[in-house]
Amino acid sequence: MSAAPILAAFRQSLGEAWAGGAGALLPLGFLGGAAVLVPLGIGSDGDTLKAVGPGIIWVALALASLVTLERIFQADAEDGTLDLWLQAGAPVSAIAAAKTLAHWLSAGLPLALFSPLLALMFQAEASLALLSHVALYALGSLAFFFWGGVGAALSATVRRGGLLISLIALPLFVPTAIFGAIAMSGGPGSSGAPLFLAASTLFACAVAPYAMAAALRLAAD
Amino acid sequence: MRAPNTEPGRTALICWGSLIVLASRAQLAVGPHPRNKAAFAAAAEPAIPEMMDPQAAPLLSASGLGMIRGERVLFREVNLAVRTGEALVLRGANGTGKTTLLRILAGLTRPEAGRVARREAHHWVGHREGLKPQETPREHLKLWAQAWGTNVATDSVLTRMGLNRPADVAGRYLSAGQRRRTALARLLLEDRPVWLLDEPYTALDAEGRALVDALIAEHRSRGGSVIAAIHGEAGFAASGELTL
Amino acid sequence: MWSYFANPHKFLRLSDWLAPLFYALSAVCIFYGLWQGLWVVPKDEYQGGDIMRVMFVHVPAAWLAMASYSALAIASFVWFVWRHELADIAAKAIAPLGATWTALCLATGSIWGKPTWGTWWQWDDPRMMSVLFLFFLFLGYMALRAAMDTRQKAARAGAILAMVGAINVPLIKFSVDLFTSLHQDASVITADGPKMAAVYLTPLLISALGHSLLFGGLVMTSMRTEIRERRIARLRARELEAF
Repeated sequence: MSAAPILAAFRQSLGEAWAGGAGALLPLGFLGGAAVLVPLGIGSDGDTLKAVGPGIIWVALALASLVTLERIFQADAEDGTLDLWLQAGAPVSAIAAAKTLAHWLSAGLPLALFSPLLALMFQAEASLALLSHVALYALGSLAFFFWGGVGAALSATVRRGGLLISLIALPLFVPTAIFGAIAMSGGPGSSGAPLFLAASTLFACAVAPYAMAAALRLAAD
Repeated sequence: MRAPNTEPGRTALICWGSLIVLASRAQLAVGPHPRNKAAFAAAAEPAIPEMMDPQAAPLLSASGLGMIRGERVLFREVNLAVRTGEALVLRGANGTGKTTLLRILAGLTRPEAGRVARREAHHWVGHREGLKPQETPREHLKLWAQAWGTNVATDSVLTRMGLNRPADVAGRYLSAGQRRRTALARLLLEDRPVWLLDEPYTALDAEGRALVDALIAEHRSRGGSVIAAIHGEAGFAASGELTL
Repeated sequence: MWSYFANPHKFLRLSDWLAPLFYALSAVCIFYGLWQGLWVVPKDEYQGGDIMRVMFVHVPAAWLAMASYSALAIASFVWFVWRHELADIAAKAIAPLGATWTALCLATGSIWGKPTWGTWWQWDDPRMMSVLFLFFLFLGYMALRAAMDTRQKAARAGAILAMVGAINVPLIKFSVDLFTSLHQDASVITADGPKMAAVYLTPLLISALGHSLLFGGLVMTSMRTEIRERRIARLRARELEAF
């Protein structure tokens, strides 16, 4: 086994993610749009916004990952690339993980990096804590992408697969959302929660690729 | 408010994690998954020295293949073998399972019955080209050369396939024939003994068809073999035909 | 044992008498449980008065919600490893029934919650949250199966998803427990309450047995229907081929 097919899959997905439209700008626009709707919906009261801010960003991250993921395996299944990757001589799980990672790098990570700006819009105080939150958002969104990738691989041959991905991935997003929210609450348990977040993300990285591989073999069958 | 007692939870998480790791190890240890039986069977076959008796060692063979789609039996008891220099043409009306048979031979689809023995590496050119909308033919060939770890000069391959002019045009602007040529160009990136081709002439002009024939002839003269699903006339002398 | 049950003919013969037996026994158990629960046992003011009688449906439903997802995961695993068609038929039959009992558990929990907690939905209750996510897992499973175009693909996709869901259940459960432990005040009345008296426990267990038997019977009937449907589809396909 060589790493060359895995690297090639990573490179292709990265190119794909940046080529279709404006690269990372598109998910960023989605996140910004979704987040801006909230103050319009619930009112501009500073304390309320401060309280719900981190939660809104988590929800927007989850939604953004679902929107991005809809096409990652579906396009491959439609244009025949999937057939080639399945025969590329590398473990399918590694290729699926490489593709997911590439999409996280071009959509998930930029969103996490962008989050302090959104947090400021939600009346958070400018402090170093916002930077540590970037790490938490990045870690959490990685789990979102891996579990979402399982949903995406399972619905790769399904028309209107996006709705199905959301339904499949939603329960799998729960631990990440909960650990992430607790970690940022500053309340009791917030010191241990980042470790749980990291653990659940590692769990996702360890398990999801195998499920994706099984689902992709099914999609090609 | 009380602080959560996270200690038991942490222990539970660790136990659960190790359980899953153990389970995945155990699955590896019990041996071939039924799905991979054919592949494992192929691996278990003793390697036959190529030069000794090429006639005795099919590069790819299949026995007793049967396939069901939904509740419909597509085909049953299909046996085939290709040896060095041979070209097998698959025939049959639309919907008789030519593509499915090729996918089974390539290992993409799991047959309901029978087994496939692949002794040599194969190339796959399906009816979907595998070209991304934003990918140019040059990028496509570079990508797969990288993935397969080969050092072929992509420029000469592009020239050979008549793709010099559209070499830097994105896939979405290419004609169907140009996309097909790009897919066929992958055959030249690496020397692999078995070619599995699904309707290789589709969308090609007369010159393109002649090019396919020339490629196949060259490949066979080098000792390679071809299995192709073809509608209409094949431009090369098939050593065998299989009608589904 | 597996190979015995893997044979559809033997299953049809077995379930032919076992399913009606299950129905009869479940009717006896459920009616006994309801009679005891609604008329015989004294009401418990600590649990909200007469409303606690919903327990005789709610607790069996909660038990079945968990048991049915476990059964779904086991059937999926058996299918994935040994490819016994009957395991897939079982998984397909379990999903909608499991979802129904899970919904019943959520509905009765909500009805019980309104007078005791003062709200239809208590986000701080770990059990309600866990059962809700279980319900979503069932919904996703059924939606995925329905979206696949052949039964073989539905079986494979469903098995992958059920197993992914099953290995995530402990993590979901743990995170929900952590979430609620941070928010829950000590004064919240929980369904466990103090130690349960035998006068409640016995009818409750009998009621749970009745629900389980009903579930088992319905699964068997549903599997019999599915076996026959697949047989019909096969015969139709053969007929088409003859043309």
